[in-house]
Amino acid sequence: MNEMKTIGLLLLSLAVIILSLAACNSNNVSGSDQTNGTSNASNGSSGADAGEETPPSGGKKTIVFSAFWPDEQYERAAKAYEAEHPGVTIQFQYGLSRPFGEEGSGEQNDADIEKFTTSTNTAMLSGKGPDLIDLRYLAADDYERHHLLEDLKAKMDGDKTFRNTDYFDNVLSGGLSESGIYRLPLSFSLSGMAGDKAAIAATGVTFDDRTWTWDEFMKTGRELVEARGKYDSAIVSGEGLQVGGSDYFVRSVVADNYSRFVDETNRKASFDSPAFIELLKQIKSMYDDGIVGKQGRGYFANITITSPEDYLITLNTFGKDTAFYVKPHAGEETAGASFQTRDEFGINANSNVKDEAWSFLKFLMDHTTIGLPVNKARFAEAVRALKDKGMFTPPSLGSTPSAPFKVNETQLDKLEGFAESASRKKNESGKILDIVYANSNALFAGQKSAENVADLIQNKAMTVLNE
Amino acid sequence: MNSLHFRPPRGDGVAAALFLLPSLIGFSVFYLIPFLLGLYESFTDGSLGGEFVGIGNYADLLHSASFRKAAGNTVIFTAISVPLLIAMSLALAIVLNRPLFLRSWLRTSFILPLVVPVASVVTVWQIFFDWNGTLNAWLHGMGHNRIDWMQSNWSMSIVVVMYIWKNVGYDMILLLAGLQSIPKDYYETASLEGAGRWHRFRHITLVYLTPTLFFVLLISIIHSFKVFRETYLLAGDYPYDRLYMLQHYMNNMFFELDVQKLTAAATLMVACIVVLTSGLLRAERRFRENTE
Repeated sequence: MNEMKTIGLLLLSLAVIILSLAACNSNNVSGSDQTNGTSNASNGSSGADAGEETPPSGGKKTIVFSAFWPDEQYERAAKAYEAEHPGVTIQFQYGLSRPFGEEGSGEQNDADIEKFTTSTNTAMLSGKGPDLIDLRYLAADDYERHHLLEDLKAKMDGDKTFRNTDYFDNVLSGGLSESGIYRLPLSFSLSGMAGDKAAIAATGVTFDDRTWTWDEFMKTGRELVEARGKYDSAIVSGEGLQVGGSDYFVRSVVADNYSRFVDETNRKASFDSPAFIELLKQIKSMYDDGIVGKQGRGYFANITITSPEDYLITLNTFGKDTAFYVKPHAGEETAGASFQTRDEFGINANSNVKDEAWSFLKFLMDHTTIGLPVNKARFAEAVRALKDKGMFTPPSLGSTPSAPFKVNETQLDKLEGFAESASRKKNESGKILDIVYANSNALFAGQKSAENVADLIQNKAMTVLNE
Repeated sequence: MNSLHFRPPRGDGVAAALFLLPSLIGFSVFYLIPFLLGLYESFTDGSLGGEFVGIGNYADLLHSASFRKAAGNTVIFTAISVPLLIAMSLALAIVLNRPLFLRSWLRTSFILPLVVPVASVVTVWQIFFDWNGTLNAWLHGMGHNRIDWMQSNWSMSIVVVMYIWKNVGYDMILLLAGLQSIPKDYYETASLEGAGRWHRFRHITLVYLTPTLFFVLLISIIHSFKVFRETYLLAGDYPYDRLYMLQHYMNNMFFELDVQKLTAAATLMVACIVVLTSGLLRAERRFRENTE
């Protein structure tokens, strides 16, 4: 009797365990179903629409391509590439689960980004992961530090068909670090200022925006305000027509002066130095004196140009006599426009198809026109196409239809010059910058002294650097 | 007659093993195996497949000023908050062990913090202690200078208060149970023989409560390591210097994908906890043997 009971118990608990395991398992199965049958379930891309799904078969090589944002240009380029290279299939994985712009997709995007980063991190750390990755939203610096990415500098130098002169070279080498280049962009955006040319001319203040430093900009701003012209402030804190808090300006200035205060190689920060305290005081006085406005409009507004069309639309929005001005730079930096890369592609160091991935990446750089393309020929093409149109109708915002306007060819001609001169990669993200701006609010509200704030920032920055 | 060298365990043994199995599987899968994998990781370098680097990661870790600061802060926090917590919960337990007006209501109210989700409470604390928060508004209203509670050495005391508020009820319950298990006769005999209040507390209460106190001490120390959740919610991943604890370090290492430093730090922490726990348990055993 007793033995029967034991056996019964044994069977019962076995059944429970098996059941629970089976439950886990079936979850997994349905999970991988949603990933559109991509082979790498751990990569968990709930692909919006994965392109080619041919499983790797004898002799055929598969490049797994991963990006958060889907783009039909990727897929078009992939089709063309596959036609040219019959031995290669390209498999897509996207982070976005629902088409952008759908109802409630904003929150969904955040959740997707989180899922995308965690699943890609795990896959990369365990030596799997996609072969070619768009590093947007991912911890590219950390990947680089842990040798998870292939050095593309070696690939660029070793490839005779790759000519640096075909591209905006400054933008390409924007990702240059001590040991090489680990990421290459397909497209970039320019950040600068839209200035009311007529109003500035009316004040009689002169300056050269191609070479100005932050110091000169502050001086110019003071002159503009003192001239008592059309506007009360020289520049408004914020981006475009959107007025932001005080942090926007601090971020830009400190980001541009970053290397003066943070020595990443020796892990030292010097935010408690008189130079930084002076800089904080200088920024504060610009708010206090109304040079940087907190509302309305100023002579300048910060803008970001994401494409040739966007360039025209932005300048048009700010009025007839608006021009693009280069952003000031820190004293010891080279002058020139500052840029941001949009997408940045890296090749997985553990990929089996590195050469194919490089060849496809090169193909993408030559055959896509997204935003401001890094390829000069594509860039010129996009500009020419706009000129040929003559009139341009911006996409309407909401229900208000937008009025078409004439394409301004002289303005467009300047755009390439700005892109050509783009020399400074704007990097406004990072823990230390977050710390700087989170702790400087009390200074600009007049609640703490610059010394006090500088000390706090220094302490926390050192914690980050010493980790 | 019995020629079998190996006999399957019978009866209770099998049943016990079977009943333990699910929790054992759970414990292994979610704690033990990951920890052992982490232990292995902590001795390898960051590359894939992992080359063995001996104690290299531990050396790196100890060279990191932030890690030393985090460890120091954790020790300081435990050293301040645990004695305070135990003293307060003991006092409360003794008070609530007597007939008292609204006693059961009071008991319940001290246990409430255990049940309330931390995240909801932290928001209130945050609003209260923020630079532009309620407390500073009061101070300002009364004509005092405001204090940056979360960005000065005050921050540690706030977390200590929060820790005590959260844990005092739990410790109090344990001590109450301990107090009630002390036979009343001891006290009666003692007072008949003329022992004063202090004497009774010192020689009866404390002595018979010691086993419970050991347990409470242990649990409180372990809870003090877990105060990270409150601190993180209150002050974020890079709080004021004094608040930067071991788990901040580990959390930040996790987000930097620095598995090596993360696992090395976790292993060191586990080692410290194990040493501490076994020391306490041994002291408790010795105490018990002495009293018996």
